[in-house]
Amino acid sequence: MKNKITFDIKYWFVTIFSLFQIIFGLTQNSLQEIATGLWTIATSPGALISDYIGLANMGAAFVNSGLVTLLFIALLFYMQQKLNGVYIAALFTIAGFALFGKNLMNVWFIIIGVKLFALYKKDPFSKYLIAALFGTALSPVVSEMMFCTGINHMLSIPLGMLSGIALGFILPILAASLINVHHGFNLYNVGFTAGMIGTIFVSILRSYGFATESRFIWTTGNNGVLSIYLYLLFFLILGFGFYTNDKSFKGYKSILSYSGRLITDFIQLEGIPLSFINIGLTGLFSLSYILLIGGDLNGPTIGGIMTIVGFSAFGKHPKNIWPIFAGVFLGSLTKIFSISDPAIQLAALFGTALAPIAGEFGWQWGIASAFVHSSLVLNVGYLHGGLNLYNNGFSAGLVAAIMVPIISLFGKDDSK
Amino acid sequence: MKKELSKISKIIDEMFSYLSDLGATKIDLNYQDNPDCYILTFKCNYIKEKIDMIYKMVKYLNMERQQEMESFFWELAGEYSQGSKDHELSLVGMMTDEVKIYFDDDRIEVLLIRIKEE
Repeated sequence: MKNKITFDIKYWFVTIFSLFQIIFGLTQNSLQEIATGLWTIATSPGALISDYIGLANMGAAFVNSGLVTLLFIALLFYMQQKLNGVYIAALFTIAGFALFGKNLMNVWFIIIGVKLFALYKKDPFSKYLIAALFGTALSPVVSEMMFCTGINHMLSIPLGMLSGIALGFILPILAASLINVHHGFNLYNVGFTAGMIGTIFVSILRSYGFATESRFIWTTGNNGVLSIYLYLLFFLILGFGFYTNDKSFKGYKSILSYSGRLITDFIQLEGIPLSFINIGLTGLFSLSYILLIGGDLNGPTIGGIMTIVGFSAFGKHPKNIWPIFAGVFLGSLTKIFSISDPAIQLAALFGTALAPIAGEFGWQWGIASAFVHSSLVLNVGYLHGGLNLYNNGFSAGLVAAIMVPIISLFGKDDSK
Repeated sequence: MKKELSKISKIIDEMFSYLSDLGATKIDLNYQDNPDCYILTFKCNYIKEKIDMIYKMVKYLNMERQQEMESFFWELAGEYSQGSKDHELSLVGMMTDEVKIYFDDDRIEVLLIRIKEE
């Protein structure tokens, strides 16, 4: 008999965070603007890069983020799921991507697909919740099919629904299988899987003459208000962790000792207070990085920061993410792009999927893998036509698959 | 059933690598396929200076069974290579229902029970 899960401190944490998103959104625009914005978001394609702040408005983007996250929290609680590190990571990832691609309309068809897979396998749905939550990376497929194929909406809307359901159905089995390709050194495993699926899906679409539209909606000029909000948020989380850890950072060194390779669940291994401290610190670190390089705070970059924050309960910490930032930075000095180019800002933030390489093999290899990633990520988006929101996870999976065996060549010899 | 045996073999692989890293030079493995559960027992020697690794093993293996983690990550078990910083013992903990660990100055015995899924 499974113990009843209570609405514990972790549930309160993610719920309060979601409410923060909503309240912040409500302070930015009028209710009518937000309502109109939410409709625009729900009925527009969400392929990369669709910054909802630009597509609609800041209020709608943050309300969308908070509401989508709240609904997933409700789903997890309804499923009586204990919130361990991987779910904190998933919820923050959803919150982040609900600022540029996931919305109240397009996420559910993937979930239905995963649910059908569970029914087909005669397994409880709870067994596949991780795949379901992260699988919403493919949500833009739903929006794209519904609103961008040029087909009559009477046909395109059911087609979009079916596409989402079909992709959700195949995702769990592929995600579990493809994890072997990168041996857990890419934290965004579903991103890699979704990239593979998206590549095949888009190839089929293109072979029937459907072209996926590339999009580029990227807002600038909001660093002031957004940095105040985010610094406040992360200081609060850090402060809460500090307070509940006997008003100290005692024990935090042990978090830094982990490589971060899948699976490293800080919540289960080191407890809630230290995990919160880590979440606060990485949030402050990554936010400061964007501001220091002259980057832009907007839907996509905040999405990247939120993803780092979430995965700070599941593998990331300052010691294994700084080499990734450094690698992308070094790349910008020698390559044709600038460190503040939108795609490169995202490459640094989401490239931290490769943090376990730095954690396991040393910072030098972290820098090297990020250096490669910052080039590769610019070339793989075309393959899936931007329909896989976790484009960096796709690229990071490829980098890890190639780099890890090479790095291991120079590692310790097992036979001695 | 086939997948179930693959999972057991991954658990054995992971345990074997970790115990080898503990300095084990002779490992006895007992495998039981019972109607309701699998029981794995590992008995081996170890190097006393590495006793901290045993305390870590106790921490990791005592994770409660988590089927959702298992269904998503089980392929990673057994990926541990000797001398590497990380291992997947916590995943082994999440794939097993009960663990008993006994050790003295030079011997260690680990018993893992995995209840079969209905």
